[in-house]
Amino acid sequence: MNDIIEGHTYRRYDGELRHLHRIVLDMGELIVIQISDALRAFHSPSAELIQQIKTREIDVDRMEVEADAEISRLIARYSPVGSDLRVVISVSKSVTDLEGIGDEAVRIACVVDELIGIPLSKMQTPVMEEIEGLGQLAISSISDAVGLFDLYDEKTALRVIENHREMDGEFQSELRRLMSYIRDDSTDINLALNMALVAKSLERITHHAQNLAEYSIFEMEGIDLREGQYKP
Amino acid sequence: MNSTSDEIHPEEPQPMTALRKKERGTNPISFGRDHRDTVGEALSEHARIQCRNVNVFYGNKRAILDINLDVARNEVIALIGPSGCGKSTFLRCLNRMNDTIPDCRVTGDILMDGAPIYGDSVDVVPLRAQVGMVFQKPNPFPKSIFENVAYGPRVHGLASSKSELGEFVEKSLRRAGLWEEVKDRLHQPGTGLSGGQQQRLCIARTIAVNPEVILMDEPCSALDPIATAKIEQLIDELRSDYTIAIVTHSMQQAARVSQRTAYFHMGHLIEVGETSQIFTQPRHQLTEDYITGRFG
Repeated sequence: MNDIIEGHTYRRYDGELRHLHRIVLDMGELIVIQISDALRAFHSPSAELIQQIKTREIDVDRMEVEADAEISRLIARYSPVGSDLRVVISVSKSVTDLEGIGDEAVRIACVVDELIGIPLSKMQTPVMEEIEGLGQLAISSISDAVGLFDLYDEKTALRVIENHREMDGEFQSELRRLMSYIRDDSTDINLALNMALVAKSLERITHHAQNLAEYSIFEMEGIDLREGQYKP
Repeated sequence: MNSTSDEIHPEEPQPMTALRKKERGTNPISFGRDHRDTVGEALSEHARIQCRNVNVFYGNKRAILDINLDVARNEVIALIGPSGCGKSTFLRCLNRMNDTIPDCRVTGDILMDGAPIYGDSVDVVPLRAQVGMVFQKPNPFPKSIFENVAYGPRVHGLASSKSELGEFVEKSLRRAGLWEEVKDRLHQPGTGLSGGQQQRLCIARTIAVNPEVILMDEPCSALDPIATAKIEQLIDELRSDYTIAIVTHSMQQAARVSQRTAYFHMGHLIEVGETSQIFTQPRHQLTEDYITGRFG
């Protein structure tokens, strides 16, 4: 991605635009840790891990605020146009989505917190395996999407967009399976609802990853791929 | 339905070239640095000025090359480009100001409302009233504020009486947003005004002879931000009555005041387009390089 950042006559401008990408990469790195830990806690509930996720969320929020300040400063100083303007818009929207992903990681942690101490039920193991599968897709999507801000690759960007379509289908299937479990055994309603919340968070994470991929396409290609417009 | 190996499978991500065709038909940067034909819509259905194959020579040196460009009615078109690219030379073609430069030769056709402005039978005096010009440095006559504005209508015989001349002066100063600031000192020297006021006085002087087109060559380069904002506001207001072509080195000014922007590079007209498009998604690499400060 640095191709479209480098080469300004005033070289400091290159550095400041590069710094915006660095912010997305740093924030993205932290977000991937948050989701990974949330899934680890989901698999093996741990009060300590949940607390770490909640503590790191403060860092995610702080990074978003710092990114907004950097973006404001850059706009005020350079009045970016053309591809530079697209970099600024793309980063500005990306940090908002990354903060949203951070919120989802905390939501998953909170659900896990609720489940600590609840006795295992017969639906728990298969459902957890299914949701862990969704979790892997979410992690893969967000890692790829953040990586686009380091090394842009249009095939990867399009794969991330497609991943959300896949996730959307999987999420609907998961809901149907959970409803089926509830019909079989209504004593598991609380557990099923919590699992649905986790699945929903994972679906939202891949949606945010899709947004990041779309911003990277906008930044590099100048093409605005809004939801629903791209039909392969 | 039979499937073949050539079919595109919907589940596979498609390359960006396919997306381009689907979404917008063109990539923003579709033309490399070596491409010299004009990119974008240079012509207009509502043209007031039509330029066809315009070349300007200074002696043996060709300063601008085969320019084709329309300037539409009631539009502000910004001409941008690095120093020496030919934008001011092109601007001066539009009211034959280049005629005053020895060894300067203009070829091609420039039409104003369909009529050629070059040719032995064309009188440049009414042409320059019809196509007025505002220069980089405010250049009021060493006369009173009143006389600066009254000079044009008097020379062109536009006013039949002193009171009518006064009306011309007041109307022009009001239109230039200067009346309230100078109405009590009309007989003081124009050169005593501030730089921004002097520039608005020059605009009032241009307006006073009822032009149809106003050419502006870096009209704000010597002004502070407040005076610049007043001129830009004035340009915005004047657009309803006039066609305006402005040369500027300020990308922000071009982005603020114009509806269309034309980018010149080494005598070539590289790209023309809606100003919003030029400053967000230029299609030529040279335009992108220039507006983002990568050369020039």
